[in-house]
Amino acid sequence: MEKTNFNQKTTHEKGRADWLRDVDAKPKTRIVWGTILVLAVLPFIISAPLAAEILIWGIFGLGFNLLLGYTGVLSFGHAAYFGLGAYCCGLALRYWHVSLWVALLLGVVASVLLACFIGALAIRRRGVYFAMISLAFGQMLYFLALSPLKHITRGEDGLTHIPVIHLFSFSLNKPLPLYYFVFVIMSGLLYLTFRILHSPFGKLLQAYRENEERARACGFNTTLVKFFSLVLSAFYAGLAGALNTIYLGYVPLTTLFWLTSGTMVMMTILGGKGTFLGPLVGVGVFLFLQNTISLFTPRWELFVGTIFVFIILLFPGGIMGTLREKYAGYQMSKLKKRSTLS
Amino acid sequence: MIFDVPWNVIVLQIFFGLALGSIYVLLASGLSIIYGLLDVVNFAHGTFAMLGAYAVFLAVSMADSFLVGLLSAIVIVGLIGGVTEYFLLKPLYGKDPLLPLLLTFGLSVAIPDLIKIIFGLIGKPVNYPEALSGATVVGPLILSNYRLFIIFFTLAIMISLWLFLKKSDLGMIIRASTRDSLMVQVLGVNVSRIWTIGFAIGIGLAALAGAISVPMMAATPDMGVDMTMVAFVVTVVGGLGSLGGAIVGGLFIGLVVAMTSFIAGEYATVSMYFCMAVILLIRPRGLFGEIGRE
Amino acid sequence: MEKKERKISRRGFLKGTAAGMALLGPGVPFITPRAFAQAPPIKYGTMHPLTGVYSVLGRDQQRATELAVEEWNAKGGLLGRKIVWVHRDDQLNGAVALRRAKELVEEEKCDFIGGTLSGAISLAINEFACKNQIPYVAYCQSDMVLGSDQCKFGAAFMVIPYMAALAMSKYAFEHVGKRWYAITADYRWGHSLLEGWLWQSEQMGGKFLGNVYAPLGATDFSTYFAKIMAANPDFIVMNNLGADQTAAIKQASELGLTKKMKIFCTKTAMHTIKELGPAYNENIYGGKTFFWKLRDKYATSRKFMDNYMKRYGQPIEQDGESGYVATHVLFMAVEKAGTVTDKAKIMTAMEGLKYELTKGPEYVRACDHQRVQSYLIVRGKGKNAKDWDIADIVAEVPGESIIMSCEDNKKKLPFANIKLPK
Repeated sequence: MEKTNFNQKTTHEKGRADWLRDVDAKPKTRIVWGTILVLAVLPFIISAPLAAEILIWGIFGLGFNLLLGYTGVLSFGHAAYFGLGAYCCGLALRYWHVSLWVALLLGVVASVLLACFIGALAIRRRGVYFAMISLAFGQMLYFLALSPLKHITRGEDGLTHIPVIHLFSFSLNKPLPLYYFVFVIMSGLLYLTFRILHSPFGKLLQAYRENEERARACGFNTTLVKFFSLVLSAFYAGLAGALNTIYLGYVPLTTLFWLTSGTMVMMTILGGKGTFLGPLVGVGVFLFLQNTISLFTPRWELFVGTIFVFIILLFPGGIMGTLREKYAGYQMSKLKKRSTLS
Repeated sequence: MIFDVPWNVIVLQIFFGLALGSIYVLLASGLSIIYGLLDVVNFAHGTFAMLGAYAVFLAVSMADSFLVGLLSAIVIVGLIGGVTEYFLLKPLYGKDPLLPLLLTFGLSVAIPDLIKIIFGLIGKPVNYPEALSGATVVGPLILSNYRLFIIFFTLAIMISLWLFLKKSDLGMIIRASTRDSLMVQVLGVNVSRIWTIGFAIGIGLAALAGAISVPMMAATPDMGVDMTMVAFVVTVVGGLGSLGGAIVGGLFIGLVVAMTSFIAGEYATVSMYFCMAVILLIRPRGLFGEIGRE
Repeated sequence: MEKKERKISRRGFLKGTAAGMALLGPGVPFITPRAFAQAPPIKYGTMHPLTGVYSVLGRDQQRATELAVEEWNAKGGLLGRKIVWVHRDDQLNGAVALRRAKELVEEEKCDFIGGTLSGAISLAINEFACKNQIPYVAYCQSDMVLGSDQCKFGAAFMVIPYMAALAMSKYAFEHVGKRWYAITADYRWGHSLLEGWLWQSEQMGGKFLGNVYAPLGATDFSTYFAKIMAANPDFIVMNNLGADQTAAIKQASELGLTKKMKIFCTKTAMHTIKELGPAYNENIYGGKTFFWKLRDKYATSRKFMDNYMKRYGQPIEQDGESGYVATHVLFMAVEKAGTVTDKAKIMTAMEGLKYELTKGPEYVRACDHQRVQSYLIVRGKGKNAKDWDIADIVAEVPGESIIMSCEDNKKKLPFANIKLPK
């Protein structure tokens, strides 16, 4: 099923959903435009605050999926990047009174630096061990922020008194203005992600995921690939964290808690790891489920947890992954029928 | 700061550290067996420990015997573990190795809520058993009897476990499966059943940890989360898949936490993760782990 | 080839969206019913931790609010309009709480908001309320009325943490002894309590022997008790709550400490006492703002407890009672102001508002919008506890005696000058 081709010639095989292909001369970006279109009207379909939440977590997820879905690396401490981005942005806004863009930049830079640090130390470790290192670092950051670094992070209280940001005479702590601000950023990121995935680097990520030894045998530095993937995902996470701070005007300590990481993992798996829209769908479905179920019972964790277990057992591809398989199977049977006619 | 403290306080701290460490040992040994045998990182380990705590509560309220409580914790929760492995984990073998981890994570989210529905939101108390209350006085040292029990009981369990693994047939098969499941299967053993049994044993140990802990606090639905974290830390420090590592790691971490909370209380929890991070960076297989597992 | 993949994803996405929209039906929260004739309803939104370790307290908050709203609607609503109550689960998580607050205000268009259990979260919600000029009534122990955090639109209906400490410490130094050792949960709330104890100790000649900071969520306290036993205090102060307090007392009893010395839990919950069973004995004193046994003292308490028991079958926890009073006082202020839209006028009406709802006569202090209420000291019953008869009230400390002056609160004095031990 897999055809690993790293040269520039295009070789297709009809009738197969073969995603691991060459660098395309002209990747069709209709999926990006379609998504952007839907997102443009989202706050009018569902509530604006919920939509804003979905968008911010969606950015987090887009990057996380690059690491988990496309590179195959599980990080259970990604909240560290999200939280660090959030705190740096908040601190910059509160104490240094910087502009919006500088604050966002600081948040992103901080997360990226942290990823470089953790990556440099831990990137050679495989699967389970890497997951646990990331968990350990995430927890350490959380407990450091809780107590020893209390005078900076305000510990359990979280960071308050962050000034409201105004952009073009809109206040960014109101759902609708913030939504469209993040929407613009998200659109850019969607396009960027799309281009990354269809670039040689994107193919490398997937090659690493499928068979690390083979990729290495082809001459690629898999450690560097993994490292860049981690740093890239931290970029997204830090940006999402910083945007979250702008939206809430507040950085709670729970931003760093491991459950934030765990929730991200669940959302990505739910939506379908390794698919382009998986993280967005996963974020949307998860938050939607959480909101809806908690209207009827506070025991929404039971439902969400059970659904997650079923997904793992029966549909490990998640929503988008399973849909893609089904569609591929359908195409396949259609093709078979056609071939028997001739 | 430590030097103007009377020696008996320090010895007492060490004593408490050993008691704390013993519970860690029980948790970690279970996790280690499961990982060694099945290559599964059980994110729901603490959740099963919590079930052990509730099992003791039920047994004590029905039969009024702590001993019965401990036994039922091991047996009932162990059985639940076996069933979980059979129906939920087995279908995942051979696929993406991260799937079992994720599945157990899902369980760790769903099961506590189930307990909240069944037992309510308020925790359930379990008293210290009469026979084990009070303290033994050795000079200026007042050693709580229950903590003494924890230390010696864990020791007994570990020795039994060791004897079981070393001397019994089943134990030998389990050890062999840890090394090379394929070979064991080729030799005609139903490895699948071994895996279920091994998982159940690991869960049983977790349940025991929860059961022993419960008189010191209360059986609450959310008590499992911290226990899972501790189990991870200890297992990583000791070596994923190594029983000896679980023991040494557990006692070591227990002492670290005890000493840290004595010197600088706020850092008690951080110290645990710090140890874990250090080990992962300089000796990722853990103190006693085997190369190749990482 | 690529066409297919693109189509899959787009089609898949559209399919998903369609399904999602079909499910949206039940998800659109709270379509307001149109009873009460023509006038549009008034909306009150609250947040409580319905999941997480304090869900039992969050549930009481929710129930108390429900009861209060029902009582008002039963006697004709507020200014002739029905009150519609919307609530959300904040999961005891700051980020979630703030998002819920935004939902309640910006989407549900609530006229006022209330709730939460965590002092830290109340600070954030208070700031949000101030920025958006929406009245917010906090149900929990909070520092939000101190210093620059205080603003026109926030009001707190439990006690300021130091008030609890002052009440407990005065009783302890008067009735039990002077030598004390503390175990303090290592976060702001614990520290605030410790500040109160240290100040009172200075004032009343107490002898502070030492303090240990226990990280939030600690389960093993044995390592702390060794130090404490060596110091031999008259009583131990516990500045913690929930599972931490349960574990601490359990282990104190294991080491025989609960037989030898007294323990003062600056704030204690009924569920903690229940979880401890006979370990919560007559040597243990706990602080509460409300306990159902007040029904023996006040007619208002009796009436409140009867109503609540009839509705929910068990006595209410102090966090719920705060919510009940907060909701009632909020509506009383609205009625007094005669307006729902002029939020500042409502808050002005609340300033100095006197009432008698669940205990004796109380009022909301004008300068900082803090409810001035009494603080109870209860004592455990050990083996004699039965059902909900789990403690006896030994003292009710009047609110006036434990709250600092307006000027002091504004400057966070005298506690800002207290140096906490390392």
